[in-house]
Amino acid sequence: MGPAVLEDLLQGVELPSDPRLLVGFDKFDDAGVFLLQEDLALIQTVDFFTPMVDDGYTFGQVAAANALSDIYAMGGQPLTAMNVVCFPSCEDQGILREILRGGLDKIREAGAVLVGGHTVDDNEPKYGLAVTGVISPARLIRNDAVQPGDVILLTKPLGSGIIATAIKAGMASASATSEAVKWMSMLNKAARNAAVEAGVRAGTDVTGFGLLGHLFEMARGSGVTIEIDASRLSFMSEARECASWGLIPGGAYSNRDYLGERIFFAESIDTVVKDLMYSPETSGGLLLAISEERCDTLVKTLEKHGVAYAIIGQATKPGPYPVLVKGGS
Amino acid sequence: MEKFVDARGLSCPSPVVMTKQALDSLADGTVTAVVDDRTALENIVRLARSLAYGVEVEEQAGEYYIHIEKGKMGPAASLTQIEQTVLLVTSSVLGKGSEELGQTLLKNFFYTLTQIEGAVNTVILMNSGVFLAVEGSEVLEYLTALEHSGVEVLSCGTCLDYYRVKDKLMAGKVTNMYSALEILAAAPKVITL
Repeated sequence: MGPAVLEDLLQGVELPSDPRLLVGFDKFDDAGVFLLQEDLALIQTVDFFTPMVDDGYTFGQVAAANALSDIYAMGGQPLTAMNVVCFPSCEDQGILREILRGGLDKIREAGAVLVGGHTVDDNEPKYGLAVTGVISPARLIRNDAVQPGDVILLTKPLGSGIIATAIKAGMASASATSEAVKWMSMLNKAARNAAVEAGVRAGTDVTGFGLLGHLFEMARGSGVTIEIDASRLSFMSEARECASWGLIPGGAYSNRDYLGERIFFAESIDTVVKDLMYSPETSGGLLLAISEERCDTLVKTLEKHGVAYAIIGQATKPGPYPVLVKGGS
Repeated sequence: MEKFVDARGLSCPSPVVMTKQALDSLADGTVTAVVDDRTALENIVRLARSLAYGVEVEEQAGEYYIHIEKGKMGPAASLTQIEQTVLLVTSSVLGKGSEELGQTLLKNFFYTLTQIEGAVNTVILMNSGVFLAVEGSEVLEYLTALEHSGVEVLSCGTCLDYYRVKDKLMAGKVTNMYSALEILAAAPKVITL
């Protein structure tokens, strides 16, 4: 669901208020956080979607990595997971078994435990997880805690939404497909561990709202402006070509229409790069903010944990635009 | 050669794939794709522009007819070589004097503009000029035609808000002073009305 529709839906809804609810859905953050005791909070999230690849096992891995990412994006550790499944009863149940096997492998890799699940008969297959994790509240990574001067980093390259569209269109090469699958099924676990070790307090993961949508939520929530240097972004192989051929998911346009004038682009930014920045990502990377002084520490820990990253921008005091995109492309 | 692609009712990415296949199968000629959703429309226009083919869009009752001419260079490909001319419109009438005459002249101006290909590349509407792009405007059809031929039409967001007509915008996009000034400052030629 696009951000505009979501915001509209939540209009007039009486939001729960409880002092123990540290992060509720009014913040458009990745997961809900509920305080259990002084030094321990519960993190909960659910995420499921339709297949973007033909192979059931791969789809299961991607969907599980994507759902687990919301826990990692808050700085938490996943403990338990439950399968959320929609599957046609007339379809080969062997495919569903492969999907569940892929999901379970990712749950194991995350160090979490599968405790159950629920299946609904549906014409269009869907799979994902409800995940519960824990965190010490003092270590919470929030999307509204960016400070002016903070350096902005992004793990994983952009382009999974565009490549997924190209896969559906039969226009992505085998190598581009396997590269995108590698990124989409990769857990954000190592990135989270590095971020926690370096003391990161502000961040989120890049998913449905696209890089710009998530940057906007961070900037708006934190009361800062974020300036991005587009020449620092890295893209998956063939993502630019596929975007230029118009293989762009509808979500990219709804993100763009929602953000409207709130993003400023330098004249040098071409349409292809804008489309890639607006496009929803499937199981995208972590978007992290850290003070300039601690940035070196974060870079070293990311490298120690073998996490691919790019320094893509910096936060400033709030200006007329929440997000500025500059630099060549 | 002419080819027709009916992609109505199909969801992304089928319309753009069908259009690409039709274009690939032609040595030169025209492909007309009919679609009924905006994602398909935007995707196909991007495809045509990136291949540097001429593209024109007609809207009929919620359906978009996208005419793509293979072998003819579109505006996107030659954009960097063309000198960018910007038309800045700051009023809903042309010139000072009789308001009635001013309206007629403005209508005539925009009609003529649609007849001269490539006369301007960007139209920026400010102050009461934004009324040209909102519901009930007499020049709306010309603005839409300009847009379809690749002209960027931009209305000042502050002005739309001031006149409370933002929800009635029918052509082009909303811009802000920062972007408008960047375009004006970079343009070698600005025509001001």
